[in-house]
Amino acid sequence: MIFLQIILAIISGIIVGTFTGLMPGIHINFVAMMLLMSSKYLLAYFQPLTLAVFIISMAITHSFLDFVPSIFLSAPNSETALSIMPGHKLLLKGKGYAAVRLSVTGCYAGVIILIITTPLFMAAMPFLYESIKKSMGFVLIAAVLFLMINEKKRFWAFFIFLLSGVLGLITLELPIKEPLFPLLTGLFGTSMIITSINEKTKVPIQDIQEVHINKKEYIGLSSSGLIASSLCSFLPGLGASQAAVIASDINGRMNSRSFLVLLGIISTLVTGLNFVAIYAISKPRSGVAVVASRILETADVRHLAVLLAAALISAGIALVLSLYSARIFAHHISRINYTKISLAILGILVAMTLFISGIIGSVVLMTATSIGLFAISKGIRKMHLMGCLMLPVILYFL
Amino acid sequence: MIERISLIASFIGIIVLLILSQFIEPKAVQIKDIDETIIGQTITISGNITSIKNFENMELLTVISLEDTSEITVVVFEKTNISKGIAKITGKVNEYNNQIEIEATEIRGD
Repeated sequence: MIFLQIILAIISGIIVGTFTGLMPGIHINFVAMMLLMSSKYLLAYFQPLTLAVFIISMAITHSFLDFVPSIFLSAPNSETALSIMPGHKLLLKGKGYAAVRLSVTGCYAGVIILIITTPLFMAAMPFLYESIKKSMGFVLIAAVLFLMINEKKRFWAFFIFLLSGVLGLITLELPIKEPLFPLLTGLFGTSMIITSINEKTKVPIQDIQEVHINKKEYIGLSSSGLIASSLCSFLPGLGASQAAVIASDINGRMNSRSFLVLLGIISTLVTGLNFVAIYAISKPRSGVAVVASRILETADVRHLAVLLAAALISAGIALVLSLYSARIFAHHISRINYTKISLAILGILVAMTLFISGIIGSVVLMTATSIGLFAISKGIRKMHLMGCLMLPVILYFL
Repeated sequence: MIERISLIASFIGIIVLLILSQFIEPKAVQIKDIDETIIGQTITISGNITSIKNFENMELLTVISLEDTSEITVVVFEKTNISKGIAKITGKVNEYNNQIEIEATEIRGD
């Protein structure tokens, strides 16, 4: 019976994850919050483990499918904000499908690495976490400075970090529902969409071709991805984008192909490690993991094995689904009016903000969008916009 | 052009939000609904203060919900003359030693 429930949970997780992943601008944490709100009712009918399996299948599938709109529709969310550069570059050369293929094979590699390294993390994480915990604020400042030094326009990067940080501080204090939704949507979603409307992006006819990356390169990318993801998995506020920058620094200069693979590896690895963190340090590190840990209440290592198996199964199916949808996008993208799609998405995001966070939420959205637009026009990497979460987190730990 | 407009709009937005945050009452939350997901937010709760523990530089209050049996710890850093009974408490949700608590900024007795 429980076996059947788990299989059903995996299937429904994949279906929901496909939907949320393909919808541009929907952040996985937003879905998690919806789940948390309904968990009281769901728990009356399902085992906690079944729900947790559903969540991990959904989260993993979401990380795969998310690359399709973020490459084809360039409406990235915070987790994939960096993919816009190399992914968009390939799209404009007619190689959008190849870009998705590189990213999602990276995602799959990330899940494999996750499963291999979990025992190691179970052993090392508690020790690492305890030793870093007391100086967390300073470790985070060091991480921010490291990311800042890498930037050519340091002054503007710092300025944007502070500006988004101040907005984050104010927004989190505001009495609105889901303050993160308008905040992240504005900084990473709508600002990008408006830019693409303004530039009247013309997407050329896409050509579907296979791409290969040699094994040696894979191993290099995997190890740097692993180091960066493990750092970010127990430092609050650091997400996949920051991990990717750290990893690309470890790895040295790389072309946009390798970068997309790396981004894929990191996005599933960080998602998975957030779950491992529940068991290793009893600290959920992302919105999704918070929900899973609250539903599970007691963390049992046998549960972790089930969750990892669910992650592996979903990854295989998500890989096929994302390639399939990338094909569909590639076939139709040059024929459809890109500006119209962008305007429609923009309308949906504004309507959702009004519905979820109200009038004040839309003021947050407008402000966040302006800051995002400013960063784009100054040519500053969007990662620094994560100041909106980093600054409040740093102040919390100091 | 976009650069200047977006910069000005950012500042205006931040100022408007700052002003708004001074005038809007913090969100009223039921004690049973306080969890990790709202850490860092400023909220208002209503409840019955059932115990007050005095420490050197702070006071710890136990507040029980008026609707059910859920309770929460409230930390007060400034010395006040709080008494037991029903009160409206405004403060920031915080985590301390794996426990969720509220750091009070304002307590109004009934």
